[in-house]
Amino acid sequence: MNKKKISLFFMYLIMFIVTVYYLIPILVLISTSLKPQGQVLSRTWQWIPETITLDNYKYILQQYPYLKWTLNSLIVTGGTVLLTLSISLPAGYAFARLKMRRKNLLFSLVLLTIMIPFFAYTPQLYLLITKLGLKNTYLGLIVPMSTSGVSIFLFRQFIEQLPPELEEAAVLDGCSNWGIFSKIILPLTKPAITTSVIFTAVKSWNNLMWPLIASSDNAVKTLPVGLSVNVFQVETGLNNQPPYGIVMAAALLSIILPILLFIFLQKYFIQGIATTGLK
Amino acid sequence: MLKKYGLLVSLIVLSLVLTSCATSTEPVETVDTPTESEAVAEVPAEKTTIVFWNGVGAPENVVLTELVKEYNETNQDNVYVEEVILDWSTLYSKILLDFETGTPPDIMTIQQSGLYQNVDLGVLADLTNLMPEYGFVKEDFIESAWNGSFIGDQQYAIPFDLHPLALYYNVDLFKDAGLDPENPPATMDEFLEAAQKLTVDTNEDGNIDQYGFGLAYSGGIPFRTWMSLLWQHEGEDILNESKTEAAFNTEAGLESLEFLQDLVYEYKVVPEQEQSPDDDFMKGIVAMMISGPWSQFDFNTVDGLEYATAPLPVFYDQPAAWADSHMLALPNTNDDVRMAAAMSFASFLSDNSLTWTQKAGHLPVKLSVLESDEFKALEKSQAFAVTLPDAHYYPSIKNESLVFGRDSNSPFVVLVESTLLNSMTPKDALAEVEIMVNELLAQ
Amino acid sequence: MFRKKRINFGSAGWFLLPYFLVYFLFFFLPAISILPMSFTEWSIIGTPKFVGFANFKSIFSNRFFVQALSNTFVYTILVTVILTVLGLLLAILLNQKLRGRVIARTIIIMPYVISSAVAGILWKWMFERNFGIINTYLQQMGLPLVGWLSDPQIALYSIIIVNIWWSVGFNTVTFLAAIQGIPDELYQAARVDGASSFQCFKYITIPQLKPIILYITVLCAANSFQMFDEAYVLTQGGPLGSTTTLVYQIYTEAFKSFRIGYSSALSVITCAIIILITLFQMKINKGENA
Repeated sequence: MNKKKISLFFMYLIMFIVTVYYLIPILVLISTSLKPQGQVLSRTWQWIPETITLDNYKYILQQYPYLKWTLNSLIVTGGTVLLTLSISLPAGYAFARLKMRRKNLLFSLVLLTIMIPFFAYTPQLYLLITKLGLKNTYLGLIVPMSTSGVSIFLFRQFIEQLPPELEEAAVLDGCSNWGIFSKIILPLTKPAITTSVIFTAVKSWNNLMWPLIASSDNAVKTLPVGLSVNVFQVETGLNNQPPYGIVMAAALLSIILPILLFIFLQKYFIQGIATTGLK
Repeated sequence: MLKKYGLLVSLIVLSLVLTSCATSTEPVETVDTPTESEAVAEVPAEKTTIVFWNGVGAPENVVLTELVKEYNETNQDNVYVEEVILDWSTLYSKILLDFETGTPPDIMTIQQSGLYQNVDLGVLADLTNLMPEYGFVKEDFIESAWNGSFIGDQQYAIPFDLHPLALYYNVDLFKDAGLDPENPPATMDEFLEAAQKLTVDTNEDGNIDQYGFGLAYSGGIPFRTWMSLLWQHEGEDILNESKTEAAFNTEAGLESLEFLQDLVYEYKVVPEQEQSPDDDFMKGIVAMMISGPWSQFDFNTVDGLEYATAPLPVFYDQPAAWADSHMLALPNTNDDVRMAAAMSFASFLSDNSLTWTQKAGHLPVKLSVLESDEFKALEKSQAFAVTLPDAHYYPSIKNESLVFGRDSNSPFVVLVESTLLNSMTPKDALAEVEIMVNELLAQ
Repeated sequence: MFRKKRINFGSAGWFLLPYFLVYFLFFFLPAISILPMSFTEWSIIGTPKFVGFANFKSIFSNRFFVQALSNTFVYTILVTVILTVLGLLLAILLNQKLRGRVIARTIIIMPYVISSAVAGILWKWMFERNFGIINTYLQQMGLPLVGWLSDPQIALYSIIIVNIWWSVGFNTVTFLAAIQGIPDELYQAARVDGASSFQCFKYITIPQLKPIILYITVLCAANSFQMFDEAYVLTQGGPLGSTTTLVYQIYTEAFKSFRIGYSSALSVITCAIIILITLFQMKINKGENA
């Protein structure tokens, strides 16, 4: 009994330490976003602002087309997630279960997308996108970001470890591969799909370098680009210091949606596992 | 069986979406192409739409945005300016990419230091003949800025502002230390004396918490300060006259570099490994710092920060300070109508450069503006104006972005980092960087 | 025979086609061009000029290349190991029936959704050597000031701290989902046989999680090998090149110096290294599976 109590104590302790490490920067973020510029630059750090102000938030919402940027980001992120899932799921299934020639070679080709640094071919990609007339369009932001093999890899790993008995029964019933995929595999893959959605969505939501080059037009400007070009400069060693209060307020405004998405998904996939009976 | 075709259907839908989007965007794209705009220009009632790349960076880009807006509302030239906001590094890479694909903007901001490279690659239009047509004549401009817009005998840009380095100091801290804020340091001795008096332990806890001078260990300003010190020696320069070899590894170069290192480690008037003097100045941690006129934009946002500016102290033989200049350039489009519109817009910006000075701090380059009462009313700009005759640009070379870059493996960043972080003696650092620069120049 | 000749929409090819269409056009075409490009000199404008192996020679004689290579390896190995192990441990911890675990889960994932630019500015500010938040507290405790980002010996590890803060949440959540997929019966059976918690962990949890562990390891390795944003915002590759990685060099060569040929050659070398490591890793994995 005593041993159990001690281990329980340590578990709470570790959870506490970890939470602090993760929470403190967030608190800095929140606290700074509520301070007027003069207090942000005070010599001693104060956790609770002397005067709490929403001016930083107001400034961003009034000065910049913040909602337009958010909407653009939503479209691009949604598009990237949908396209990634719809092309990666069948491919992941095929790599995990179906017979084909040169499977290893094809899979190595997929892995190339993880291995080759994006900057290595960005100029060529940009020239290609321009030739296809996709510059400054949503598609130009979505499609090149959907080639990453990360999701295929995840799906392959996940589907491989599913018990094969269910499919074997379906094969005996004369079910086609497509039927097996859509009826049996897809529902079981929900946890992996959730993971993939989180990974792809966050990556796309925060993607900076590609949209920075491919879509500087106001019409398709995404949130990270708007923030780091119109609001502050990300590069160090440049002339101006970021207006910290405004940057932090902008950051908080930009993470509200993803956090809500996560809270929603967290509930969803835990339930999902319970109901699909992946036991 | 139906489900078997589900994939096929989704494939077809996908390819349809792909192709339809590709085609549907084409008409939008053609708006930018010359043929379309010529057609537009034939109809006088229609406005010529030109694309302007604003690359000056946040937060000052807001000021240019306001000017664009004003121009669009008031201009009689039948021109509509579409603004695209970028940062410098994106602007410089994007202009090459967009020029290569035949879709460059009609007019863009550029730094004097970036001019040579873009001219060398054939991106920029030769404006020599166009300039007088739009009222840009030599007599109206400061000589150094005007000359900076030439590469060889051709003029490639319209000078818009100039930003030399100068000294910023905190008036309150000067008073506290018993120094006269009306009489900022002007020589090496005065500077050192002030810096030492301003370095104090205000709360007497044994740790220094206020320093006389701010100097970052990395970034552009430290090496530009060092260059300014080098130019303050008579007859010294960064490169030789033909700009083929480094010329800075001299007694003067060493003396200047040792001085900067000594400020940190010998006189201890600079915080060690300082990251951001701008921040520290706003917090009152450092009492003096060197920067360009742009810093006023940030400093003015801090309530209760009372500061003033002075020309760079003369540490050695003569006054000298590094400077760069914002200019307006037209990419080579060979489209007369759009170039004309761009020039009209440029002359509007040039005529209204006082607004730019008032709000963003950069110095005007037009003599009429410099001599105007409105400009003279800007107290803090005067120190920079005094510096103008002594302003030095980087030597104009093809490999500017390599030699004077601000990345961690750029030669002059290596120079200041290794000495200000005390990992190399100034002598060794100079010798090593001399080799690096010569290698780059030889390419 | 006839039926077999009909197009079989259930065959593997049809499942792969959509992906490979997009892949070929938007990845393979532009990416494969770095190979020929690496033998040329090209500054985006005009036609590339063939220069043979000049780029490669120049890379191997560059004083920063070896440093970038070693930075990349130190960073990749440390981050991959820490992120995988920590992610797994946190997932196991947060899978226990502890109070506040849902809140803890949300807090751990929160940094992951903050953009790298903002995370960088935030940490850079906290890391400031003089009068930064962290060093102020250190000083109050009588500890010496740490040059988190300005000390060449430390800067790379500071970036690791930021990266762990930033991205362990994703690993934790992924592991958590996988752990919850392990059938309870396995544990119950083990407990009936009198297995301890550690034995359960070793003989059930780990083997069951193997595919996901492999996935996370490869993903972390690939991501950290390509670390860019953090260095870009926090240190710009400095001080003294101590946080410059191969990918950072590729970026500066391509987008600051406009030497596409040179950056392509760097990319080719980088890919060759990654492919070698992957092959090696696969061989180890095969050995273990056998």
